Amino acid sequence: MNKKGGSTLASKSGFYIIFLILFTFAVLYSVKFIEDKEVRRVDFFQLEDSVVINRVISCVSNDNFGEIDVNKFNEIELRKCLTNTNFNFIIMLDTVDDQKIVSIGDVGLDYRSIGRYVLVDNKKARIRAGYSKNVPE
Amino acid sequence: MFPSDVKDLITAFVLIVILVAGSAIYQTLYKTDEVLKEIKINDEQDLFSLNYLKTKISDGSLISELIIESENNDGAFETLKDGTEEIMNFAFVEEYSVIILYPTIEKKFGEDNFERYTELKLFDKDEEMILVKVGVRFKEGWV
Repeated sequence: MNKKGGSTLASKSGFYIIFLILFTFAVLYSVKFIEDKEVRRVDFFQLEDSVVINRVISCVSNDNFGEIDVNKFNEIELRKCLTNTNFNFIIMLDTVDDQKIVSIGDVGLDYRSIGRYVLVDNKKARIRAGYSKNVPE
Repeated sequence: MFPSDVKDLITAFVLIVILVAGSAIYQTLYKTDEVLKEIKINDEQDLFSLNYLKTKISDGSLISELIIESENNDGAFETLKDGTEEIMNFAFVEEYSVIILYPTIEKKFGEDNFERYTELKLFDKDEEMILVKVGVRFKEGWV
């Protein structure tokens, strides 16, 4: 670098410093808007509950999810959908004047339970699935 | 090395120090608070709302038909409210809100303080859209 160029840079260094300060703050200010400090927490038990009950409903529904076909509500049909041997299930279907229960495996005393409002022949009904696992959580 | 090169090096060094120090100071001054957001699935409300509209109540009327009829019929609206109460009790719903937005009027019943509503669309006899908003809070331990 020649002497003239070096002295030019040195004489402008004050401007460079001011420029860099402004530039740094501009970049960091932008980063503040971009950075995501949101921590999302998913309750995996709730997620598992949802998967289990939706699978049960899907298994015993007619073409429309949530409209239960009572002819499908039996152990043979449910076993076709709930093939995982690590899970035990107890599933109850309540209508106004009837209750059906199907068990697959032994859920024991300590099990999770989820209910949903469903329909049987367009009439109000409730389905409740209890499940437990044979594997340690 | 010329004296001018030494000046350039010093300038570069000063600039780096400013950049690093500026970053550190900025992060200290403008620390963004972490926001904890819980992701809720809430699919029970969606399924409930859909089935609610398709439910046939004890007198044989469908809720969706009663909603359409209720636009200009106060008797149908009363039947709708009674039928809804019947369904909510059966489905272990503790609190609920139903808001019906017809093309020209709005009708609602139940509580009115729900953060999240499930929105469903129906069409009346003139093919005009009716927006039904359903909010429910189930009894503890049911869903």
